[in-house]
Amino acid sequence: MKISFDLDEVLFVSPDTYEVEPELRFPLNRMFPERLRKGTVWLINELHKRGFEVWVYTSSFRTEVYIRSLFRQYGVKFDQIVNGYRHKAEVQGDREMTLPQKMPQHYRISLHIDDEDAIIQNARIYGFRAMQVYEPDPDWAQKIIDEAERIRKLEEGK
Amino acid sequence: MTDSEKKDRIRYVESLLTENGAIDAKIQPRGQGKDEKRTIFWFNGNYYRLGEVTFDGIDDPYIVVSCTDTKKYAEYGLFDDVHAFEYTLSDEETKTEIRFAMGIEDLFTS
Ligand SMILES: [Mg+2]
Repeated sequence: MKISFDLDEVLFVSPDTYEVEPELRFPLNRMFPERLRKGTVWLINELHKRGFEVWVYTSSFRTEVYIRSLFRQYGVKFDQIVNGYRHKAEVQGDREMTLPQKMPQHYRISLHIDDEDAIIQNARIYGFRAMQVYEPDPDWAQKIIDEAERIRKLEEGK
Repeated sequence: MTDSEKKDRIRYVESLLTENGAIDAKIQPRGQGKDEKRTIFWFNGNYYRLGEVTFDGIDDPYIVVSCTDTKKYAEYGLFDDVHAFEYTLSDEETKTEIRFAMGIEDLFTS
Protein backbone atom coordinates (compact mmCIF):
# COMPACT_ATOMS: atom_id res chain seq x y z
CA MET A 1 0.00 0.00 0.00
CA LYS A 2 1.24 3.47 -0.93
CA ILE A 3 1.23 6.44 1.41
CA SER A 4 2.36 9.91 0.37
CA PHE A 5 3.50 13.00 2.23
CA ASP A 6 3.28 16.66 1.46
CA LEU A 7 6.48 18.51 2.42
CA ASP A 8 5.84 22.11 3.46
CA GLU A 9 4.16 22.39 6.86
CA VAL A 10 3.98 18.60 7.12
CA LEU A 11 7.52 17.18 7.08
CA PHE A 12 9.26 20.57 6.66
CA VAL A 13 8.32 22.86 9.53
CA SER A 14 9.61 25.99 11.21
CA PRO A 15 11.73 25.40 14.30
CA ASP A 16 10.10 28.51 15.81
CA THR A 17 6.75 26.78 16.16
CA TYR A 18 7.52 23.07 15.99
CA GLU A 19 9.76 20.53 17.63
CA VAL A 20 12.23 19.51 14.95
CA GLU A 21 14.78 16.81 14.20
CA PRO A 22 18.39 17.71 15.11
CA GLU A 23 20.04 20.05 12.63
CA LEU A 24 22.47 18.57 10.08
CA ARG A 25 26.14 19.25 10.73
CA PHE A 26 27.85 22.16 8.99
CA PRO A 27 27.99 22.74 6.02
CA LEU A 28 25.06 20.43 5.22
CA ASN A 29 22.73 22.59 7.32
CA ARG A 30 23.46 25.46 4.93
CA MET A 31 22.87 23.35 1.82
CA PHE A 32 19.65 21.86 3.19
CA PRO A 33 18.08 24.56 5.37
CA GLU A 34 14.66 22.87 5.68
CA ARG A 35 14.03 21.46 9.14
CA LEU A 36 12.18 18.20 9.66
CA ARG A 37 9.27 17.84 12.04
CA LYS A 38 10.40 15.82 15.02
CA GLY A 39 9.52 12.16 14.49
CA THR A 40 9.86 12.27 10.67
CA VAL A 41 12.88 9.95 10.57
CA TRP A 42 11.25 7.37 12.83
CA LEU A 43 7.91 7.62 11.03
CA ILE A 44 9.16 7.08 7.47
CA ASN A 45 11.48 4.27 8.49
CA GLU A 46 8.72 2.64 10.56
CA LEU A 47 6.30 2.78 7.60
CA HIS A 48 8.90 1.04 5.41
CA LYS A 49 9.45 -1.57 8.11
CA ARG A 50 5.72 -2.27 8.17
CA GLY A 51 5.78 -2.83 4.42
CA PHE A 52 4.27 0.44 3.21
CA GLU A 53 5.54 2.16 0.09
CA VAL A 54 6.32 5.76 1.05
CA TRP A 55 6.15 8.61 -1.46
CA VAL A 56 6.57 12.38 -1.43
CA TYR A 57 3.80 14.31 -3.19
CA THR A 58 4.55 18.02 -3.16
CA SER A 59 3.38 20.84 -5.37
CA SER A 60 6.70 22.59 -4.83
CA PHE A 61 9.28 22.66 -7.60
CA ARG A 62 12.20 21.37 -5.57
CA THR A 63 13.91 18.78 -7.75
CA GLU A 64 13.74 15.08 -7.03
CA VAL A 65 17.53 15.02 -6.66
CA TYR A 66 17.37 17.76 -4.02
CA ILE A 67 14.57 16.11 -2.05
CA ARG A 68 16.23 12.69 -2.11
CA SER A 69 19.60 14.15 -1.13
CA LEU A 70 18.16 16.10 1.77
CA PHE A 71 16.40 13.09 3.25
CA ARG A 72 19.38 10.80 2.68
CA GLN A 73 21.36 13.06 4.98
CA TYR A 74 18.91 11.97 7.69
CA GLY A 75 18.98 8.31 6.65
CA VAL A 76 15.49 8.47 5.14
CA LYS A 77 14.50 7.08 1.74
CA PHE A 78 11.37 7.47 -0.34
CA ASP A 79 10.14 5.06 -2.96
CA GLN A 80 9.02 7.79 -5.33
CA ILE A 81 8.81 11.55 -5.46
CA VAL A 82 6.12 13.55 -7.22
CA ASN A 83 6.98 17.25 -7.38
CA GLY A 84 5.25 20.10 -9.19
CA TYR A 85 7.00 19.25 -12.47
CA ARG A 86 6.10 15.57 -12.39
CA HIS A 87 2.49 16.31 -11.45
CA LYS A 88 2.27 18.76 -14.34
CA ALA A 89 3.71 16.28 -16.81
CA GLU A 90 1.97 13.11 -15.67
CA VAL A 91 -1.28 14.17 -14.00
CA GLN A 92 -2.23 17.45 -15.63
CA GLY A 93 -0.72 16.59 -19.03
CA ASP A 94 -2.45 18.52 -21.78
CA ARG A 95 -5.91 18.31 -20.28
CA GLU A 96 -7.82 21.52 -20.84
CA MET A 97 -9.51 21.47 -17.46
CA THR A 98 -7.13 22.38 -14.66
CA LEU A 99 -6.97 19.50 -12.23
CA PRO A 100 -6.42 20.02 -8.50
CA GLN A 101 -2.80 20.49 -7.43
CA LYS A 102 -2.65 16.92 -6.12
CA MET A 103 -4.36 13.77 -7.39
CA PRO A 104 -2.94 10.88 -5.35
CA GLN A 105 -5.33 8.39 -6.93
CA HIS A 106 -3.53 8.88 -10.24
CA TYR A 107 -0.66 6.94 -8.63
CA ARG A 108 -2.91 4.55 -6.68
CA ILE A 109 -1.81 6.16 -3.43
CA SER A 110 -4.11 4.92 -0.66
CA LEU A 111 -3.42 7.66 1.86
CA HIS A 112 -2.03 11.17 1.41
CA ILE A 113 -0.89 13.33 4.33
CA ASP A 114 -1.26 17.10 3.91
CA ASP A 115 -1.73 20.30 5.89
CA GLU A 116 -3.97 22.17 3.44
CA ASP A 117 -7.73 22.46 3.79
CA ALA A 118 -8.10 22.58 0.00
CA ILE A 119 -6.45 19.16 -0.37
CA ILE A 120 -8.69 17.65 2.29
CA GLN A 121 -11.75 19.08 0.52
CA ASN A 122 -10.50 17.78 -2.83
CA ALA A 123 -10.13 14.36 -1.26
CA ARG A 124 -13.88 14.31 -0.70
CA ILE A 125 -14.71 15.74 -4.12
CA TYR A 126 -12.32 13.63 -6.18
CA GLY A 127 -12.43 10.50 -4.06
CA PHE A 128 -9.00 9.93 -2.56
CA ARG A 129 -8.04 9.40 1.05
CA ALA A 130 -6.26 12.22 2.82
CA MET A 131 -5.35 12.90 6.41
CA GLN A 132 -4.74 16.39 7.69
CA VAL A 133 -1.69 17.13 9.79
CA TYR A 134 -0.69 20.65 10.57
CA GLU A 135 -0.47 21.98 14.09
CA PRO A 136 2.21 20.73 16.50
CA ASP A 137 1.09 17.38 17.90
CA PRO A 138 3.46 15.07 19.77
CA ASP A 139 1.44 12.03 18.61
CA TRP A 140 1.30 12.94 14.92
CA ALA A 141 3.54 10.09 13.79
CA GLN A 142 1.64 7.43 15.71
CA LYS A 143 -1.68 8.78 14.40
CA ILE A 144 -0.42 8.40 10.83
CA ILE A 145 0.73 4.83 11.50
CA ASP A 146 -2.68 4.02 13.01
CA GLU A 147 -4.52 5.52 10.04
CA ALA A 148 -2.28 3.74 7.53
CA GLU A 149 -2.89 0.41 9.29
CA ARG A 150 -6.64 1.08 9.41
CA ILE A 151 -6.77 1.75 5.66
CA ARG A 152 -4.61 -1.26 4.90
CA LYS A 153 -7.13 -3.45 6.79
CA LEU A 154 -10.03 -1.86 4.91
CA GLU A 155 -8.32 -2.44 1.57
CA GLU A 156 -7.44 -6.01 2.43
CA GLY A 157 -11.06 -6.66 3.43
CA LYS A 158 -12.33 -5.53 0.03
CA MET B 1 46.04 24.98 0.85
CA THR B 2 47.28 26.43 -2.45
CA ASP B 3 45.16 26.54 -5.59
CA SER B 4 47.25 23.84 -7.21
CA GLU B 5 46.90 21.58 -4.13
CA LYS B 6 43.14 22.09 -4.25
CA LYS B 7 43.09 21.26 -7.97
CA ASP B 8 45.02 18.07 -7.28
CA ARG B 9 42.57 17.16 -4.54
CA ILE B 10 39.58 17.63 -6.83
CA ARG B 11 41.33 15.49 -9.44
CA TYR B 12 41.81 12.82 -6.78
CA VAL B 13 38.11 12.94 -5.85
CA GLU B 14 37.21 12.67 -9.54
CA SER B 15 39.34 9.54 -9.69
CA LEU B 16 37.24 8.16 -6.82
CA LEU B 17 34.08 8.78 -8.85
CA THR B 18 35.58 6.72 -11.66
CA GLU B 19 36.84 4.06 -9.27
CA ASN B 20 33.27 3.65 -8.03
CA GLY B 21 31.87 3.14 -11.52
CA ALA B 22 31.16 6.64 -12.83
CA ILE B 23 32.05 7.38 -16.44
CA ASP B 24 32.77 10.60 -18.30
CA ALA B 25 29.38 11.77 -19.60
CA LYS B 26 31.14 13.65 -22.40
CA ILE B 27 28.97 16.70 -21.84
CA GLN B 28 30.35 20.19 -22.30
CA PRO B 29 27.88 22.57 -20.66
CA ARG B 30 26.88 25.50 -22.82
CA GLY B 31 28.52 28.79 -22.07
CA GLN B 32 31.29 27.22 -20.00
CA GLY B 33 34.77 28.56 -20.69
CA LYS B 34 37.56 26.13 -21.52
CA ASP B 35 39.67 26.96 -18.47
CA GLU B 36 36.82 26.30 -16.04
CA LYS B 37 36.02 23.01 -17.73
CA ARG B 38 35.07 20.38 -15.22
CA THR B 39 34.23 16.84 -16.18
CA ILE B 40 30.62 15.78 -15.89
CA PHE B 41 30.27 12.18 -14.83
CA TRP B 42 27.40 9.75 -15.24
CA PHE B 43 26.53 7.07 -12.73
CA ASN B 44 23.35 5.08 -12.16
CA GLY B 45 21.03 7.51 -13.92
CA ASN B 46 22.57 10.66 -12.46
CA TYR B 47 25.04 13.28 -13.70
CA TYR B 48 27.69 14.46 -11.23
CA ARG B 49 30.09 17.36 -11.17
CA LEU B 50 32.63 18.42 -8.56
CA GLY B 51 33.35 21.97 -7.55
CA GLU B 52 34.20 24.26 -4.70
CA VAL B 53 31.81 26.01 -2.39
CA THR B 54 32.28 28.61 0.31
CA PHE B 55 29.86 29.63 3.02
CA ASP B 56 29.18 33.02 4.59
CA GLY B 57 31.34 33.60 7.61
CA ILE B 58 33.52 30.53 7.03
CA ASP B 59 37.05 30.89 5.64
CA ASP B 60 37.73 27.36 4.47
CA PRO B 61 36.23 26.27 1.15
CA TYR B 62 34.60 22.87 0.74
CA ILE B 63 34.47 20.36 -2.08
CA VAL B 64 30.91 20.20 -3.32
CA VAL B 65 29.27 17.37 -5.25
CA SER B 66 26.52 18.54 -7.58
CA CYS B 67 24.02 16.31 -9.28
CA THR B 68 21.09 16.21 -11.67
CA ASP B 69 19.08 13.31 -13.07
CA THR B 70 18.24 15.17 -16.29
CA LYS B 71 20.62 15.25 -19.26
CA LYS B 72 19.22 18.55 -20.50
CA TYR B 73 19.95 20.18 -17.13
CA ALA B 74 23.48 18.79 -17.17
CA GLU B 75 23.97 20.31 -20.61
CA TYR B 76 22.89 23.70 -19.26
CA GLY B 77 25.03 23.28 -16.14
CA LEU B 78 21.97 23.20 -13.87
CA PHE B 79 22.88 21.00 -10.92
CA ASP B 80 21.74 20.67 -7.33
CA ASP B 81 24.41 20.65 -4.66
CA VAL B 82 23.92 17.33 -2.90
CA HIS B 83 26.92 16.90 -0.64
CA ALA B 84 29.99 18.77 0.60
CA PHE B 85 33.09 17.91 2.59
CA GLU B 86 36.47 19.36 3.55
CA TYR B 87 39.49 19.34 1.24
CA THR B 88 41.48 18.22 4.26
CA LEU B 89 39.68 14.92 4.94
CA SER B 90 41.84 11.81 4.82
CA ASP B 91 41.66 9.60 1.72
CA GLU B 92 39.60 7.04 3.64
CA GLU B 93 37.12 9.66 4.86
CA THR B 94 36.89 11.17 1.38
CA LYS B 95 36.12 7.74 -0.09
CA THR B 96 33.24 7.31 2.35
CA GLU B 97 31.84 10.77 1.54
CA ILE B 98 31.99 10.24 -2.20
CA ARG B 99 30.32 6.82 -1.96
CA PHE B 100 27.57 8.46 0.08
CA ALA B 101 27.18 11.24 -2.49
CA MET B 102 26.86 8.63 -5.25
CA GLY B 103 24.16 6.81 -3.31
CA ILE B 104 26.29 3.69 -2.89
CA GLU B 105 26.64 3.82 0.86
CA ASP B 106 24.70 5.34 3.70
CA LEU B 107 26.33 7.55 6.28
CA PHE B 108 25.18 7.79 9.80
CA THR B 109 25.06 11.49 10.45
CA SER B 110 24.10 12.88 13.79
MG1 LIG C 1 1.87 21.84 2.65
